[in-house]
Amino acid sequence: MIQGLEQITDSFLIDVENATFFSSPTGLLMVKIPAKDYEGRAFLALAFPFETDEEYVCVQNEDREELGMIRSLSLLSDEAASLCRAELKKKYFAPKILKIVKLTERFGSSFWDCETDYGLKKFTVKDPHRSILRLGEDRAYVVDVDGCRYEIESLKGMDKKSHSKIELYL
Amino acid sequence: MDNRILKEDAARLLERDHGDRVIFTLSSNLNQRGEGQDFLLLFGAKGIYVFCEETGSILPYLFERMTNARYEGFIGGGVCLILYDGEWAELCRAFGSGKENLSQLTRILKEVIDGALKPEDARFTERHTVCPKCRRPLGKGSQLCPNCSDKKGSFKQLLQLMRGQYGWIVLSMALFLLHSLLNIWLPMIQKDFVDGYLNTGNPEELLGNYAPAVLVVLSMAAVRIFAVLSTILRNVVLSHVSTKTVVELRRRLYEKIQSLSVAGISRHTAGDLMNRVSGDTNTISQFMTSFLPSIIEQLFIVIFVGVILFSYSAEMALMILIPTPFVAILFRVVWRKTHRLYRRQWVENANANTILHDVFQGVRVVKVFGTEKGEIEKYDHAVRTQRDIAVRNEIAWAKLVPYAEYLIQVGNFILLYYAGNMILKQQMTIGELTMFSSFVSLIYTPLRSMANYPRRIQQAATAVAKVFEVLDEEPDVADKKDAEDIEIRGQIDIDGIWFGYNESENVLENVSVSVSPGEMLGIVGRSGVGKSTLINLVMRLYDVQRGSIRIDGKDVRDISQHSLRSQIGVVLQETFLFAGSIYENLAYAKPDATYEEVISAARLGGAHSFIMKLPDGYDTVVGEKGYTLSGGERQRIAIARAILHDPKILILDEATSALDTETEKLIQESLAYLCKDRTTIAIAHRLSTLRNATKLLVLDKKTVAEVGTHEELMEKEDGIYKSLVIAQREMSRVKKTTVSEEETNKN
Repeated sequence: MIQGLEQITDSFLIDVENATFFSSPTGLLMVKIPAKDYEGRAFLALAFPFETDEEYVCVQNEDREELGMIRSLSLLSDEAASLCRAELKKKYFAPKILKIVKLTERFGSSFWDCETDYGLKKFTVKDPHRSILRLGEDRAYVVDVDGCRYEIESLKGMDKKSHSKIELYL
Repeated sequence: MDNRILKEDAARLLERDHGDRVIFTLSSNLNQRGEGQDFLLLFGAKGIYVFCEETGSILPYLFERMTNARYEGFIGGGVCLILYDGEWAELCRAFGSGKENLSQLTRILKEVIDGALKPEDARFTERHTVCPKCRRPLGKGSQLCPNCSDKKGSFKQLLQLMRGQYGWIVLSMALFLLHSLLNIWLPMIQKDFVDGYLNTGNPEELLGNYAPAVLVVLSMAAVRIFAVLSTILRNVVLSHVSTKTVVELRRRLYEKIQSLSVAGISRHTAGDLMNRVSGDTNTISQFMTSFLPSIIEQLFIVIFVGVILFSYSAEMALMILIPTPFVAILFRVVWRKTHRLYRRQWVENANANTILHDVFQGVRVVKVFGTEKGEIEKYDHAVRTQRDIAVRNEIAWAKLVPYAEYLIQVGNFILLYYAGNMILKQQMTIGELTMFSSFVSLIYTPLRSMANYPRRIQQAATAVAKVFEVLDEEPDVADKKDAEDIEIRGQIDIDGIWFGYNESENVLENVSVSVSPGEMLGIVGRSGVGKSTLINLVMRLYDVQRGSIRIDGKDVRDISQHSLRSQIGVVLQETFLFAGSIYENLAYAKPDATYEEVISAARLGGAHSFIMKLPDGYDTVVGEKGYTLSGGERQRIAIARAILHDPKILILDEATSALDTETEKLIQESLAYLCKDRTTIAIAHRLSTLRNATKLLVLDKKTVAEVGTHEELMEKEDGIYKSLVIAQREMSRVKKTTVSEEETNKN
């Protein structure tokens, strides 16, 4: 690598040694990184949100500038990892579709009534062929008109009726 | 619990426990841990209260202890945060369409905290992204569902649009009636022919006397000819009515879109507007010319044939009519089944096309990386899947449709059996049987298409509603009734303006600056700081939310938009050229310009020399299907266009950004000429472009950070402008060093 480029290409790797994650009195995620002389709110962003939800987590300050990168949440203390997990779960909010109760379509929009891990959700999907993101052969995200994502963990694992409903769009 | 009762209970609790009254309410659907939980937010006169629907508890947040509010988005949702007692805290969190409401709430809270709005005056409009009734997505920024809108009202509006053509409509209806009657008359003549001449029981009688039989045959031919003629005439009349209506609709739509503000137009995508102007009006036209006539005709036929059948034999009429709903249902089922199959085929076809489109577009990348083999395999796989589905569909279609067709004939078989018995008993003639059989086909034929009626009607109704949604839209930047046309001198006063494109975030806050006639104001700042927004506000493409912009002492909102913009010239970063010649693009600013004026403007703009190198000179066709000009060439045309326009106020938004330093130097003189004696507002990242500015305005963090001349700003220690100038100087020094090093190496 060209000399001097390390500064640009190398991330500041955050682990249990160099950063402390904690909750503010009002429940917001905070971080203290002495090497960066930073103590304040921590915003987390996944580098590969469709691939992994525990690895390559970018930690940003309030201006969304990168403070460092967590290679894996397992490199943090248990308490810090669970705080980060909770924060990521809130940010990448995606109810899991357990069953498709009803799926109808009219004029390019489809209307979904699904049982999810957040209860029964009714949502509308515009242009269903473009709004279903296939992640590999078996996993998919359905994105509704509000940009909300609904995850299908396993297409093959769905019950037959649900699968026959969604099959048309896959 | 019923939402209304819930709100009433919460309001009572608020009054009892906190001595406050509800001004408006909204809901949120997630708790702080991001778990699904419903909350009711009560916006009161003293604060905002979070009412938990599950526990019935109320958490108060008083305005006097709030010092800031902000909205943060996450995937599919948003959070409203408040700075409460010096600590940021989450007020509420929602996903789905609720996030739009939180964003609006944040804006209201900010205004209340800033003291710009009294809580009692706060107004909240619940926003939906999908129709609460039918769940269809609403248009960007629209709260009107084309599906649930008053369709009768829309059709009424359409009828009003057709005023003046009522005579033609009545004529076409009469022709419909005539055509239906002729079609029904034909089987009746056939019956007379069969009974009177073919089935008399005495063929010799007919052999001896041809004339009456020929007359009947001729009358049948005449009826058929009249039926055909009435169809032709009817189609001519209808196409006249529909073409006129559609042209009028398109004209009105286009006129309306032109009158909308940039914000109004931006609420729709270009594709959506195009679709409304051409697609939806076309759907309406097709509905009027082909679908509506066939429904009316079939309705006439069903009524007339029904009356005739019942008058002949109620038993036989019932026998024919009773199976009709079943046949309609059968066709509906067949249609749904085949629709699903073909839909799947269509999807696979689209997938294969997407692969083709992608590869053709990125063919250079494919070649460079040598991935042709992989791309061939990918396409091959898609085409094979498509083939498999197509084969499956054809087999299914081949199995399904003949059965359905056969079932439709069942009514005819029953009729034949019953009528045959009656003929044997001499209670019916063969002619009557022929007539009844023809009537059966007359009634049953339209049934095949009847399954699609509701869908087609719905489609047309939606198209009508969508067209009228735009036609009825109130422009949000409208001319006041007493808006004046003024002769601009060029004094611009921007006085404490606030503006944001969306509910939750201001782009500019409390910005003030003045420019005198003939002065040049340079606006400097980071990308996204609001420089272009400021000039958009001066042009009144949007209205400020607070404060005012005055030109020659007159608020821009009191000046007619045409008068204002016709005296402002703009050279933008991206120059759009319309399809047409370079001459037409230059003369767009001044349609009556002479050739001499155009050429001298092009010379001043530094465009003449490159134009003359093109094969067709000023007549070279540019635009999508024409000659491709470089960014710098397009920008020089824009400068020449502005010179030709000769505006009182000139706006240069990164006008020279696409030019290399050498070319920029060349046209600096032209720009200096262009700016002479007129008020100019210029935005440039390359600060050297602003060296002629009489005043510089530095924007930072949504507001004015520095104002002054170049010299004044350079004297400021740690000034933003100074640091930008130093950074750019260093950058150009690095560039120069690199270039000279490269040259030394070459030598």
